[in-house]
Amino acid sequence: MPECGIDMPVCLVLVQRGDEEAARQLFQHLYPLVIKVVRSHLPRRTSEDDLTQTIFMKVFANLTQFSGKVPLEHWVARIAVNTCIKALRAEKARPEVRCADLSEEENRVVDLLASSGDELHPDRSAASRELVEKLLALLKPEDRLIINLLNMEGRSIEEVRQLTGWNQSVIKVRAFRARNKLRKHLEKLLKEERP
Amino acid sequence: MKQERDPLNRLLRAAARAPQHPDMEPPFGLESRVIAGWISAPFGDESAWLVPWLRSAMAMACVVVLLCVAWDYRQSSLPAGDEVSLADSTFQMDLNQ
Repeated sequence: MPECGIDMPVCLVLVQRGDEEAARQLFQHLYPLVIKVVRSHLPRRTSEDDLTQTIFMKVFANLTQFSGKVPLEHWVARIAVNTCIKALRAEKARPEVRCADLSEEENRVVDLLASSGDELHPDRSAASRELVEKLLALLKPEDRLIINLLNMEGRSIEEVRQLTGWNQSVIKVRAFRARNKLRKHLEKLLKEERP
Repeated sequence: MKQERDPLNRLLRAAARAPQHPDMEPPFGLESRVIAGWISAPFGDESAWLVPWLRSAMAMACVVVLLCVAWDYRQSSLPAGDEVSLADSTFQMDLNQ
């Protein structure tokens, strides 16, 4: 793995002095982290590469401001999350999702959710993910982010606090409201499917 | 086994199990674009040092404006001074004549 053997404090000093090789090492080290955040929070009409590039440009441009009080990865993840929120804000929320907008697989998932209380089969996870992404596109960026972080990525409240800078009560309230909004949109779909 | 009636919870759990995008390697050219962008502005925004300075200057300017307004208000709320007395005495003398 590229990050093996990287001496982070030395690497950061070298990058701040303009060392290109150290910058490449740092890019390779941070890429998996950044791309994971980008893929989780990518706006519909934004290119993954463009957003990743924007995040890295911000990281490199502001590296002198990195105090070292928190691990570099936390600092970078926070920049990535904030950049994604900004990109999501620039995008208008979808007005609604109807069954006609869903693929056959996604409609099957809606059927299963409406017809039984059983857990969905793992074969349905990809379609479920697609369906959740379509439903999340109906929410505000902050609501979308909180559902992604807590439910999709399984992060703890403390991790979300570190990533977003929001306090714990804000996170809990926002998560509660976001889930309610998501539930309403899903219920609309379920009713549409089975009038 | 207890069934989960909330469809949202079931959907979210199923979605969370979806396999992650396997490709964690940067696409060709991305690293070069980032490095090139960084080299063309190696130390970030060169005017970045101005921001905290301008912020302090703005704060100082606000304090000065507030002090001026307070001073002006205090002056205008003081009772009339000698300059009015002088005019008043001249007026009185004119009336007496």
